[in-house]
Amino acid sequence: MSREIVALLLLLASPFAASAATEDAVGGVPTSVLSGPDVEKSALGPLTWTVPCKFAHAGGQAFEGTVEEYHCDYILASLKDPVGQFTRLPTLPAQITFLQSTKWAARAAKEKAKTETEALLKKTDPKTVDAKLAPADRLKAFMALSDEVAKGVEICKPFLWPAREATSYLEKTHGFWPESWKPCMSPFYDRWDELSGLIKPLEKTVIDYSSLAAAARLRAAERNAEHKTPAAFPAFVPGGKGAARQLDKLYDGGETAKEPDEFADPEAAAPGKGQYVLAAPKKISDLNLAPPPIPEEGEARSRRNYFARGYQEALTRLTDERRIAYWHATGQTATVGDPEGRSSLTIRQQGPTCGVAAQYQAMKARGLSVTMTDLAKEGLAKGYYSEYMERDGGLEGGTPSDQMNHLLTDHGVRSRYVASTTPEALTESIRVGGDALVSMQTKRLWNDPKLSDGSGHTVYVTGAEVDANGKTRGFYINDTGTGEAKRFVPIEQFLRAWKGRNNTAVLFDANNDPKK
Amino acid sequence: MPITIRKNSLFAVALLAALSSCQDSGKWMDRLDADPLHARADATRRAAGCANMALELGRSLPVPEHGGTSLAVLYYPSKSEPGRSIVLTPTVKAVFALEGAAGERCAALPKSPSKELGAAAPDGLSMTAYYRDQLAVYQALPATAALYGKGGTPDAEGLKSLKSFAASFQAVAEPGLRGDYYRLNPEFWEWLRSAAGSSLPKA
Repeated sequence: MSREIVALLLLLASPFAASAATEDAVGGVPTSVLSGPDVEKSALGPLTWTVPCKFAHAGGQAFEGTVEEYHCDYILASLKDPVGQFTRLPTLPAQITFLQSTKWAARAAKEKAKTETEALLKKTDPKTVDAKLAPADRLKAFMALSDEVAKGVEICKPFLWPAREATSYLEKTHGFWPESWKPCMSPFYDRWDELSGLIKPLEKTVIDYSSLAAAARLRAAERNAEHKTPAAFPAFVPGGKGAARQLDKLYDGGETAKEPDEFADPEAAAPGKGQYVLAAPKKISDLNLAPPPIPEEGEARSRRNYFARGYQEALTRLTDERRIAYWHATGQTATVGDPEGRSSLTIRQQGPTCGVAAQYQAMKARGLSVTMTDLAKEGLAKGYYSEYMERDGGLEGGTPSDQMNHLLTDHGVRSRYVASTTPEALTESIRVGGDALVSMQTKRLWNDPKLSDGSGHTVYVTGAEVDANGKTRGFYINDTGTGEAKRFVPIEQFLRAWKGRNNTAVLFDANNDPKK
Repeated sequence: MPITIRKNSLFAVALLAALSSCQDSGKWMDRLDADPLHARADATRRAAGCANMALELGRSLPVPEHGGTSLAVLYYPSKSEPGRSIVLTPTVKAVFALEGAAGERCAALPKSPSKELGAAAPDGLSMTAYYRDQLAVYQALPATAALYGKGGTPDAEGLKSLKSFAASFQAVAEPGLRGDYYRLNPEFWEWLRSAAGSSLPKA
């Protein structure tokens, strides 16, 4: 007896099938759940099933029975090769018995899903959130409800087929949820839409508040500069002969670096005779104020995608940006590289293409006309990249470490793969070449408890925040796994995430324009 | 703007809590990274035979091999997005000695259809708890493997170590990989069940 037939018989022996048979026997329910011909005496041939839910007898005669869509969804989601198994059933009566038994099981599953759906919709009703809460707390609550709605997938699982599509440049799939999921999932889709409509304006409010806070802090710095001595200026850059010149030399065009004669305040008491100290600015216009740290609402802000990793991580990012604005204003650090300019290069990757996507951005930054689809195809053909090959096995899924820059090389971009390097080398690569690629531990980079520690991820490094002593305080990245651009990662977190991948990087030298 | 100030204070409180939690988990990460056994397990990624492995692959916790003198880890792909990660069928196995650098080997597993096996991290486990428990696994592993190698019934101290290993392992191991962990060495897990009263379910 084939394994498929055994599986069907097991299904028929399920509690649902048993209860159907019993109820039929006592006459408590319609004796035929499939209203139709007397199949035992029928001369009609066996049924052919056309997915999703069309049945006809061999020979073309229409099937007079009724099989509802959710019934078919249930069978399609429950069995491996359901159509093949159905077709291989030896007789029409066996097919009808199978459909009868599974119909009862489907009906019971539908009732269960209905009850659970109602409970989840009640639980995630936005009206349960107190309207008097502060915007930040309301946002947090709505985001939690939105996460909770995801449990709808589990509720609908008995009816969900096929699996959610993978994301792949090669298959041209985008991770969409199949149309066939709609009948069960539509209440959850509607709830997501409803919550999304509430979340978006609150996100804007939270970012705006953060922007205001940054401005307030800078105003406070200005007041300090006007009324207090430089010594009282909080966390001011440590002095030292030639500090500004050194910055100029190290970081061409760095905003912090000023010539002493332009910047020195004769009234400011230098801590040591003959030493030049970065003096406190007198007014806000003197501050080394970079463009607004948190951009106005619009494309630049949208690219940063603050809330991609959730509420708490968004707050952390916003605070980091406020801190950087303060560092800049008080002359503590300068930005190396052009993280704002390169933020426009970021994309949201499909499939395990982080390594390809990082190289893609480096190529685009050098003016190459490339697409992710072409690069993924090229990488696959040359063995630099592999997809999740779910149907055939033999998967790898990603980019081998030592091939992190092979696409770059093949497109004429000179770079160096280094199995292990230092943050100083990374900063230097950004200074002279404009960027770098690093391999990181995803969990540590995203600060995400739902991930395992081992998994890796490649990101495109677009800038560094460096102090007057040349010490890097953090790096800016474009992360194609989350769609975040110009995310500042403080140095401690960066190093912890990088260490798990042995501080692997791809570095660039000057004059690496492939068109030259 | 008094309202703004109030909201900012709220941000500050929320942020302090987040930063404190982050710093806390950072300390456990540092301690885990400093653990020599953890470092050796990580080094298998660079072992001969694994040099061409995709950098995205995650690494499992180590499981004692037969005899208890070496440990095995699996490498597996995962589908990850913020807040969600699914483990796929492991593709590579590496083995390394419990002590010393000899005997390290790494090879691709026979090709098999890939499946989504389940979550990559236990639900509800904070970053701090995750790294603390993972460190506990590595710290308990040498004694556990030695006891397994010796066989027989452990003394009270050994039993304590075994229970610590079993509890930490189950707390932190990838839920989607439980079957693969068991299949790495069923003999070990059954021995652990008989010796410590707790183990992974049979797969």
